[in-house]
Amino acid sequence: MIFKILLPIFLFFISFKISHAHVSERALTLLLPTEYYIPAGISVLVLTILITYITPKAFIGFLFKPFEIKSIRISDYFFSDYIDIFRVLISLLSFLLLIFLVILGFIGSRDPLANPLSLFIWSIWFLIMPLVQIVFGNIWTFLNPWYGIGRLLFKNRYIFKLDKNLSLIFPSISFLLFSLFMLVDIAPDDPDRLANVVCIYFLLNFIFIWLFGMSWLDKGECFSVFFNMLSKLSWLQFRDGKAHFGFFGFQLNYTSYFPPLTVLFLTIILATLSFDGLNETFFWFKVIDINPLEFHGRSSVILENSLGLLTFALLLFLIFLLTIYLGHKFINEDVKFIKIIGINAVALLPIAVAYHISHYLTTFLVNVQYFCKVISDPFNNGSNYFGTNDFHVTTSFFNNIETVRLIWLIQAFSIVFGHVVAVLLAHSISEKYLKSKSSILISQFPISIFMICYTFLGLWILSTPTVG
Amino acid sequence: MKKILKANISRRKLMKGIASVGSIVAMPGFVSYSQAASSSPIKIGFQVHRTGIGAAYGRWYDRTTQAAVKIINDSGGINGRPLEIIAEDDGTDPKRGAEALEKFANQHDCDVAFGTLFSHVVIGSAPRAGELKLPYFVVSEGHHVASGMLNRYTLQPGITDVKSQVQAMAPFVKDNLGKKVTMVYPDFAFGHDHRDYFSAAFESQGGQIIAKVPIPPTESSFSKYFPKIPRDTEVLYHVMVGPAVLTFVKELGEFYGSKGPKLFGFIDSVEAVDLSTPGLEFLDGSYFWEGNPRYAQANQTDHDKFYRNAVGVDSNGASVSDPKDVSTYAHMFGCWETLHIIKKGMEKSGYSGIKDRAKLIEAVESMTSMPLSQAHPQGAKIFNGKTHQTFGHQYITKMTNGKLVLAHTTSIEDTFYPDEVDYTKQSF
Repeated sequence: MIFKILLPIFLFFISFKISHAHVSERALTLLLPTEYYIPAGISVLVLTILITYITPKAFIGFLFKPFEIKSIRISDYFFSDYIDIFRVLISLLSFLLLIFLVILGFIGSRDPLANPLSLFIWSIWFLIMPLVQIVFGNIWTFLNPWYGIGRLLFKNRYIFKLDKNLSLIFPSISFLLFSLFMLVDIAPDDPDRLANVVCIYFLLNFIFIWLFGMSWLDKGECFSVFFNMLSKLSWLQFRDGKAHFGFFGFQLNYTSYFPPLTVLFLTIILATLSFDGLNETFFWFKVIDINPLEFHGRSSVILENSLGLLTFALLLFLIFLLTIYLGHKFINEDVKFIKIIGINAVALLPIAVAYHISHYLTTFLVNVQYFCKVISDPFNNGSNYFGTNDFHVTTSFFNNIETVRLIWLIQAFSIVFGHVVAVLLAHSISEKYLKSKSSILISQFPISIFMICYTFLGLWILSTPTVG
Repeated sequence: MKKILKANISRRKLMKGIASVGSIVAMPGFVSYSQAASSSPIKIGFQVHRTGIGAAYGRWYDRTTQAAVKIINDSGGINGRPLEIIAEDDGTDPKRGAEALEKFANQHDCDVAFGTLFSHVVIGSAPRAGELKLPYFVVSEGHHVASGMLNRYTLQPGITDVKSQVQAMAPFVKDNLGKKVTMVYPDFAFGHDHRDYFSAAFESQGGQIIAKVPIPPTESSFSKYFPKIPRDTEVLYHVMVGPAVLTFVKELGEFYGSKGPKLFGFIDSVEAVDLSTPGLEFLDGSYFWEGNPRYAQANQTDHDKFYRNAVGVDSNGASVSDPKDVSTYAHMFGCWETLHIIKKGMEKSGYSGIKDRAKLIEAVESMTSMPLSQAHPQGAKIFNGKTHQTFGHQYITKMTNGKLVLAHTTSIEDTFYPDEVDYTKQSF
């Protein structure tokens, strides 16, 4: 019933003309009773929303309460100076690894599934790093390849100072360019091409560090900014030498302000992760008037997918702004929209992570096997350092209804759980600056509708026919 | 940019040089090459669908190719020189495919290009192969080679084309399944080719196509089309492809139960799909065209045994390392056979380097009979040098207790049709 009610709402949203991988996997997915699974998933979200509505204010507060792990005190083992030296050293190693991978990009196998650079960038680093940040906290701050070399060369010098509120325009633009490369370029996996792009990106950011100082990494480089934000959702945090844990997002207890442009940056990320899925659906091919069974590859949809991504990002940006605006228009409390929009956008992060897991799980399951092969033969000369080069990559889990069901359910769980966290987080954020329960409820109503629609979109993308 | 590219090539050449010295010394077949120690490898540019819609086929094309290269190299290579595969991903995209050919010719100094499956990539790449004067051996099944739309540098010697496959089905269907056929096909060029080739061949045999039911390509629910199938239909010819194909079979089963017409289809619909999938039991008793039977048959040849073993495929057509990983067995033999034809062509022409590319093409054009052998485990073939297309036996299997059991093997003559082009008249 809910499904029937939501379908027209959803179609209304995507019929603005804004809006298809493994044939056998999706063919088997189409045999699954997703018409029951989807309403079940949405029901969980609706139930969560109702719980946030009817429970007292203290309940959500308790949920996000930090707990100190008293047995772990980093300060007992490390001086903060040593931590910074450690950070520089790890970063330098990371930099050397990157140089090694780029060289392999140029001289290694031309097959992207046998080249360490292509596999590492697309199937390991980009797929795993967001999850590492959520699970272990801000590990990227150590792994960041610019940090060590930047500290050694530029120390704390800078030529221009970055404005705290406006600097997010840089990561927003660069993530959008990255998205266009990932989703629209005809061969982002090509080792040569990727090696050139990585070099250019590294050098550009290096120049920006020279111009703006080390703070560029926190405010201007899109992956560092993204990963840094993700670490704020981590269930684990080291602060003042002490270890704390809590529900995803508990660290926001210590933050009450994010720059307004956070909403632009996060809607671009969420739009990218959503569009990289939507652009494979038969629905999208209908919109761009191309027969999905005769799809002639990426070069035939460069304009369509560029415009699609940009339009999707713009619409998502506007819809989210409108959602927050409407939520705060009818309350009897004095709230400045510009001050609260940034922190409200943080509720989009768990959804972005959910889409990330859901969409890239299948790619990861296959490409991690190729990665295990390639580490045995990184120079493509027939060596077999770890004995894994003779291994035959399998995709049988896409040919078997039971494993396809399991994969689908993990993907769907990710989508639903991400939205559940987002609902709770949005509620908790509003409690930071709204005093009465009634104001909080009113402020949350539009965003609850948004979350339900976005959950439906995510589950629908998982269930609908796609090219691939 | 040019400088970066030049620098890349020189670095790559340097590393490859260092690597190749190490690898040749370490190779088991070292003794075989010692007589030709000064010979560099013969470079085969492998245009492979690593990403995009062809990736599932690309994985098995790659595995078959690597197996064939190992066999050829272990037996002494070509004219004493080892084969080296240089794989470039074409993204199953014609523009990218053409770029890959340029890289083979200009960056990697490949001797020939090889391996493409999807027709649109072949059609998009072949003109560039002609301009680059790069022999381009495709494994695509498309009629585009024999139709005359390509050029002298493009050849398809290792796999038959869809026109010959479809027309060769007509005699068996009429004589064994029924004379009144309804065709259900996706309503675009692929489906239209089946409709046109089969109906022409079937009607010339005295059969009758009593209805044609085109299905819109984006359709994902089919029940509403089944009432359009006439009640007196004796055979349902189906060639559905795409993600909804299993849904089509399931709904067809629900519509007809055990009382429907006999079913005939192309394995393409369920290539690499585990036939024990719930919903597919309805296919039991139905007939399929297979380019090469997925399941080892009672009359399995030693050549098929050898080929399966070399590629690592078990008697059920699945990977020996994972019995649930079903291969694209009906198609991938084409890579194995094409590489053996390149070997034979190079040996016949005394190929010594890029300057002999034209001689290689002439040598392949002069080939006719290709007997069943280790080089041709799918079966004997007759190559037509004028049309650059090979012709061979086709297999019709019947799904019996979840396995595809051989019901009929067509003659090679069943697959012939009049020449539509003579590429040998084109100059190099």
